[in-house]
Amino acid sequence: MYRFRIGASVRRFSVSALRRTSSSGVKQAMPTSGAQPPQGSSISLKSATRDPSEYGTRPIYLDMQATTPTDPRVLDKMLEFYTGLYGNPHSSTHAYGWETDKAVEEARANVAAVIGADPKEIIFTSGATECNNMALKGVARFYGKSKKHIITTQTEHKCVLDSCRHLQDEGFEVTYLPVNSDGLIDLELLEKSIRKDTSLVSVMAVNNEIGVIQPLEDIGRICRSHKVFFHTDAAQAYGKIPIDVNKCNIDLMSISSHKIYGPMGVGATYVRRRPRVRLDPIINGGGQERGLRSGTLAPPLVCGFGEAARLMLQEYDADQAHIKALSTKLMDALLSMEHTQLNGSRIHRYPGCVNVSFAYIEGESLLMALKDIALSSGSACTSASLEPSYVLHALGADDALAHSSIRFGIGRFTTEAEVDYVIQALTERVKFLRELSPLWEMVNEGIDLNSIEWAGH
Amino acid sequence: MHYKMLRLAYSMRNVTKVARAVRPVPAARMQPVRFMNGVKFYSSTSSLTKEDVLARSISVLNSFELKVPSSSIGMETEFIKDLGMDSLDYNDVLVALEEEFDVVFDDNVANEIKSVGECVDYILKNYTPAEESLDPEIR
Amino acid sequence: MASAQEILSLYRQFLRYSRQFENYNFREYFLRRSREEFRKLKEFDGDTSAIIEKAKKELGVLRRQSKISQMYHFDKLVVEKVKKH
Repeated sequence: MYRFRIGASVRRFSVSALRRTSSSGVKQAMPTSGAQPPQGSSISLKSATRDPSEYGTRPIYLDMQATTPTDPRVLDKMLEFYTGLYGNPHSSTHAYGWETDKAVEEARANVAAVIGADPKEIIFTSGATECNNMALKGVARFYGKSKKHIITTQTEHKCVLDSCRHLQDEGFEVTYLPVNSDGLIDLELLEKSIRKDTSLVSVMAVNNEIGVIQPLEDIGRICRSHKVFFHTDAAQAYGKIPIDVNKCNIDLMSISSHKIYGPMGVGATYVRRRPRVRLDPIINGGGQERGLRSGTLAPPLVCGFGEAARLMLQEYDADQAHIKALSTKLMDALLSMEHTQLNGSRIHRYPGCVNVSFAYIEGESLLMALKDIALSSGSACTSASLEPSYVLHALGADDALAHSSIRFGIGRFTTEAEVDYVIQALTERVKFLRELSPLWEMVNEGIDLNSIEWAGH
Repeated sequence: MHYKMLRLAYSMRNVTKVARAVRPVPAARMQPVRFMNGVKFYSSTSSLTKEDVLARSISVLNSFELKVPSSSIGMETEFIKDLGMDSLDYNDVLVALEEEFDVVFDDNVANEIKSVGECVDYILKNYTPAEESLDPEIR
Repeated sequence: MASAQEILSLYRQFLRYSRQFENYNFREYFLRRSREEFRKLKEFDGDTSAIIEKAKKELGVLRRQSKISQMYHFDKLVVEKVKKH
């Protein structure tokens, strides 16, 4: 049996190796490959097939789950409201108010159309985080006198989990459903978890880290049969997978604008009217948005969002075909490398989110070696810390695997040339980093890593 | 600002190259001419040659998926008959040529064009050396 | 009914404005989509006037947005050749 003081030191080793080489390298004039191999090394991170001076330096953007570029067609819509149509949509006494009000209502209809909702059921907010807060706290508090229990999952976005934590402080009970190794919840367990005093079930539609799609229709059916409200966080799903709020019996839905090529700072909550869902508003005031979210609407943002939603419908087929093709190409290439694995279900997934683990490499060092590609090892909120992803943990991944995972986000504006570049860069640099990894050396020597007694972690 | 200078420098380099192709200038005469003067000097007398336009047109064509080797393309080559393109394909080529030479094919011309040679002739007739037109930044 | 020549003229304008986007991803996207849509239109059997009307509106958007794209410069991407006039 091997005794090997490793753990944190593995990480430090590979990271410092990269730092050392990049500072002693030939100046950092080559952002195309952020990391330089040690001097005298036979490994080169420079591509032999191209001259970097002929190309630009800005990284490829592959972090579409964090945010998406604003579509020029959306900006074109927004500019109308920054140049001429500046009325307050709630001013009912003059034409300036009427014209922006009309535009806002058109936007509302566009947002509703994507999910088969009635425009009156759309409440504009500042973004999906507000939506999630509004739905969870709003419903729980409104029905709080008789119903003290809500159900959610372990792989939800931070803002859902944090809202739940706050509700627990207020005296509510929360059940956090586990997921299987594919990232899917167990429907039987969901049904068993519903109690007499359960007011709300909140399950996200598409996971932001692994792209797994939960069975919304089944969940909706179960919730409806037990007369429990069903909320879904659809920030990553809206417009990207087909969702019909009536077919899926969804009562509340959180929608974000900047994940669908719209402006940041705006979102919408779908709140069902029949059967009516009531909630305690978080923001009180002039009674705008059916009294559920007071405050003057921002027509540039709302109408940009509406245009983005309209484009999601108009471009649906083209986007799907394009993203699917690029995603398949990327996934096939990455998974053909040895000791890589796809995280999350292979079947129930949104193709625009590909999460892959590269065993025996530390995710952070891989990200450092990929400075020419804008990527994330998980959600934007957690990637600042070195903490491994709680989502991957929930799937049963161990620390090492969770640490070595990278999320690739593909969107409408991603090109095939970019995907080709990423494939080549990944192939070269994963190989390079593994050469530096003591774990990789041991694996190649045929040592079973499970036989190692880890210490110091 | 920095970008603007780069662009300017690049277009100057192009002009010099073109001018050389037209008539070789003795190196001694080139030497003392200052950069800005140089551009002015050559542009007033230079224009593109047919050979040059054809060569650059072929390299533009090369960026499309061609069914024939580019070495077989000449003035007589017709887009539909010889290159197996349809109307959308060769209009795509026309716009790529527009970008390469900074010309615009008039609608009535574009609709009639059949061969590479007709493009080359049109470009030769309508080409304006870059520095005589407005600075691209303020155009 | 729009004639084939009108449609081709419209096609050229779509390609022109698409090419004028300074932003690589937008440029490539609008080129790709213009090509796809006009190919569909070419095979479309029926009254094209509604489609043409819509396309003309979209062309206005492209014209404005390609200009705006030219007003803001960012570094070229690592997949982008630096040259360009």
